[in-house]
Amino acid sequence: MPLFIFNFSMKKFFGYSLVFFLIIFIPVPFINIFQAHYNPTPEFYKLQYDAVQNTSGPFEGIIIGSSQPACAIRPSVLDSTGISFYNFSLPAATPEFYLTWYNEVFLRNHHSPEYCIMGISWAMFDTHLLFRKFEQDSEFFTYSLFLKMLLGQNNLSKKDIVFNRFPFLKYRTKIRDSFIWNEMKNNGNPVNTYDRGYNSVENSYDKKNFNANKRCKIYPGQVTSFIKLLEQMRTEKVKIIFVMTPEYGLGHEFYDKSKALAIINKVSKTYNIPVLNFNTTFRSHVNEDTDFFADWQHLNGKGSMIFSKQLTKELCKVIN
Amino acid sequence: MVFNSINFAVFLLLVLILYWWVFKKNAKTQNLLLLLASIVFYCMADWKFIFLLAASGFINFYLAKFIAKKEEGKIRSLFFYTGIIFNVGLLLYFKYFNFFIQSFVNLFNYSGAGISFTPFHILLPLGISFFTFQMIGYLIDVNNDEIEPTGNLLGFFTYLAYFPKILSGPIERIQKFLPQIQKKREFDYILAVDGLREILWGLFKKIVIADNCAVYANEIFDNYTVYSGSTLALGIFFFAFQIYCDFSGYSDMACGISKLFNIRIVNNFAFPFFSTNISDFWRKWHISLTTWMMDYIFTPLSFILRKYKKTGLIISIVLTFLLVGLWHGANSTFIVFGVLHGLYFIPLVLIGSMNKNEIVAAGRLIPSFKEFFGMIALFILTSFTAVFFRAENLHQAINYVSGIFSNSLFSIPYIIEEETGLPILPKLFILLLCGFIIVEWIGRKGDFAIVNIGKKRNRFFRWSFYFAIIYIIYYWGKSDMNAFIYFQF
Repeated sequence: MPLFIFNFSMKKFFGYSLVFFLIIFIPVPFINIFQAHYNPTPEFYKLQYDAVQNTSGPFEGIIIGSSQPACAIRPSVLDSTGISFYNFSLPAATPEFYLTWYNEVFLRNHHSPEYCIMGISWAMFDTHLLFRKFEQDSEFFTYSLFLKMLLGQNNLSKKDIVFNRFPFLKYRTKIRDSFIWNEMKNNGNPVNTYDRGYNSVENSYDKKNFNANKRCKIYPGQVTSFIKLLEQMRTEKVKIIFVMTPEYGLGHEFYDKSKALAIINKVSKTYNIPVLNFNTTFRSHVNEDTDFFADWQHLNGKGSMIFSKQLTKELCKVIN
Repeated sequence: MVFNSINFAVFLLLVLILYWWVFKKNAKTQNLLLLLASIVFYCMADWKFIFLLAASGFINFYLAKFIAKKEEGKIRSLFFYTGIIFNVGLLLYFKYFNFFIQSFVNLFNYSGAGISFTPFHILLPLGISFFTFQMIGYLIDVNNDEIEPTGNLLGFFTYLAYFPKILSGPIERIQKFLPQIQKKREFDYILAVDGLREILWGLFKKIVIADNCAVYANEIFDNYTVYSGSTLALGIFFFAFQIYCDFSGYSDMACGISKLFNIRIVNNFAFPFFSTNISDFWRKWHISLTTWMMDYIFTPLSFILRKYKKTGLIISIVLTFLLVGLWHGANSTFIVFGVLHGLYFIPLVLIGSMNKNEIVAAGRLIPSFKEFFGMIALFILTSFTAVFFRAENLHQAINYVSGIFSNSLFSIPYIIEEETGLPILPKLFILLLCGFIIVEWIGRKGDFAIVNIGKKRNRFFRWSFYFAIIYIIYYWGKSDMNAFIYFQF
């Protein structure tokens, strides 16, 4: 807009405003670079997205689910099944998340896998407990995916896509933490344990702190997405296996009463999908020993190694 | 579309460019643009009631003309009371219908009538309490021959729907607003910069202070049964600052935005927490509502009850504040909130110092012990009423208050952090809150806290201060854009 149409005071106003905002934005690229390197997000998120978006593949088998399979299933141990798996489980991810992820990220870059290990849990249909949204990972999207999600017709929050894309916006409230977090997160999720998507959690379990929050709700939207994803995978001839990783401190009766697991059992019967529940049918000494846990529902590195071997054994029976 | 959103920033920029560039020819074109922008703004907030707003405008515009045309008498009174009944009827229907019916049903049920009532699904038009009060005030002023009715329909509708104030006030008087928009406005550099400064301070109050206080206040009020007395007391403290910064932040932004159009609207807050008595507090809190109530409710009422002297005065005050409470919403908690404030006036009435208007620490930076103690005592009293303002029902409010007065009142307060589930005390935020109070204290003589920075400091200091505020907003601000509390009124 030509400035000559304004009188002197308006020119002065717009001129100063422009200079003011330019000065504000000078530090932004530097903050962005700083926040991209020092932030509270575990590094394996990025490694997983890089793998699915940049690796040529093919992926014979994929593992999806929330934080429990992410820190429990070691793909390299599963190699003895004869199938190469990649663990794409992400903390707090829901069926709704994976329905979008599978179509927009995985199938955009790869053919359908032969096998899919789907992590199940009693909380998996609770949007409040498992709160991950696809938009919040926009930082890891390729440019083309970012633009497609931002400009395309979808149900995603455009604001969240933009705010989560740029580290200076996404981690803006974490600047203080950023100075100390890098060391902390490497202690919690050491990236040197990364194994095709698996990342161990190395917190030591405090026996005094057994505080299982077992309240959860069933959100119909999550169940619908779950069924949709299953039906799509079945159409694509993907062999699905439900796996529930071990937890500490809860007995059979809790799992028997779980509404979410009742839905899953019903679905497994309808679609003839095998269920490997390591808290009920395949319960073992792992469930009883806190040495194998980072907290009551997440296995640590030691526990994940033993569990992955147990899972390999059971998988071989199912696959063959 | 709230003021603290990207959408509104784009909308405002567009309107400003059009206002000072395309529509700058004369007052009429400028008003036309303001009216169009206000209609768009209102429709984007809630398009369903734009016709109600228009109908209210037309009816009040013509009723005022009819009232002025007629001499004192029955016909004039008929027009006047028709207008009052129409406006009050709107409020009663949209805001209070379910509440009153439910209250009557409860009353009958106490005597064992066993009546059931399913509340009607009545949507509340945005800003109805604000624009209806403006219209009632307009009709009363015309009827009392204090003002001439305007013949300028465009100006009248611009006044009614003016977008910086339509959703949450201030309750602007037509006699102050209309003269400003009847002449062509020229761009005023100093006023525009002052406006931007006020918007910045309003944003800071809303996004940093109010929204962060809301996180802690919501956590404590929603789970008040599990928290200690000291934490419940802290919850009141957070809520008091939340509501103050939410509403005064909105008002600052509204005034600032209006200054960009070279239109001044009434300042709604004047640092109420720096008052030492309740009378002074209400002269500084929601000023436009208080003056409205003073002019149209309290003054006529106290005139009618003047023969009862102090008792009449007390009754007038309590009834006025009962209406102030009820204005906020159809809930018994608001009635208690209003009545409590009314009762706080009784000592002032009895000792005859109701109109005593002291400037706290005038000419000094540090208040005296007496002033400091007065401010703290008043803050505690007014914050106590905030429990009723915030609670969903009286039962909850009473339980909350009784929860405070327990042995745990003297324990160290803590809040359960949602992300981690760990007990924390937000020390850094409390420190920021203290910094905010100090800035407000230093700037308490101005229209808003940082107004003097623009007058007394050099550019380097000013800009450094603004950058600091902007980066604090960036760092502390909540991005989930909470709506303003006063939108619901």
